[in-house]
Amino acid sequence: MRKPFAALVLLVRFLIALLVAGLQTVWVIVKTGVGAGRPPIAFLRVRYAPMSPAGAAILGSLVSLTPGTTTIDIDLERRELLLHVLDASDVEGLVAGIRRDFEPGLVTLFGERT
Amino acid sequence: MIAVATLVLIVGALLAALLATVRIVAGPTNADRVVALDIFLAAGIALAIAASLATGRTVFLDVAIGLALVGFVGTIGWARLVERSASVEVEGPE
Amino acid sequence: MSLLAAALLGAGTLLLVIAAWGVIALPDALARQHAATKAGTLALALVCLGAIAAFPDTGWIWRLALILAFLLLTLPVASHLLARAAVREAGLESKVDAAPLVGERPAVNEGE
Repeated sequence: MRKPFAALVLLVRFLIALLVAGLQTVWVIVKTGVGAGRPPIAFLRVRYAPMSPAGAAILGSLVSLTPGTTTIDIDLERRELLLHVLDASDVEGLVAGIRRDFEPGLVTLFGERT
Repeated sequence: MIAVATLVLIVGALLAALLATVRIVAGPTNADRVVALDIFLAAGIALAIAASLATGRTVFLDVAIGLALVGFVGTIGWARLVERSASVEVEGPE
Repeated sequence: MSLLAAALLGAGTLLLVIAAWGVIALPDALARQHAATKAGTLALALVCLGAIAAFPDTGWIWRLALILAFLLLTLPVASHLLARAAVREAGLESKVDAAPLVGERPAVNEGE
């Protein structure tokens, strides 16, 4: 019974993330468009919790939706996500948000006992 | 009320298509053009929904479904093509 | 109900125009791709919801829900592939490889 519930929670978080991501992207566009200085752009790597490749793929897709980030590549051997960040002013908070919102549910669904 | 909103939607979608066209023509890289195509497609779907709202018929929604599907496949195809041709350029023809 | 529909449609239109503007205004292909995929999809989602609010019949609802589902499922894939194409074409691989590791995580000890 835990798995369907985890999937449901993940779906709700997906929808919320979509809304927040869209609004934040719009905000960045408007700020850049009126010439108020654009936020710094950065590439970065994030190590993710142990899970199967399918779980990693879904995590990559979800991360593409968290405000202002896009997954460029997934390194399965080193368990790392390669991200491009549109608004790199609060990178630590971003990573903490990914780990808080998406990882627990995915670990429940696709976790590996190693 | 909805008629006015539909009119606004049509004008907005046309404006978005116009801006996307500017980016498709200007480039500078092919990746930019594929991104602009994505927006162009979104404008097309919005116009199909607007047509449906204006006439009150669902047939145009079927058009929007088709556009959403074909557009996704198209975007993937173009992105792969750009990626592949770029890596060929870097390595040089053998 | 028609007020809600008009508001959703108007918001969707505004976001669509802003997304298109972002494709013009943002500095490079990687940043533009954020605008096209995230803002564009949110705009279309709002338009779909607005159309549902305008005509709440079964035929409308399931068709619009289908469009919405396609858009949401395909958004991350399109975003990822566009980003990769942009990185390849701009020749940024070395920059990507040099990306710093953020949020240090030690060995495997997560979860239950």
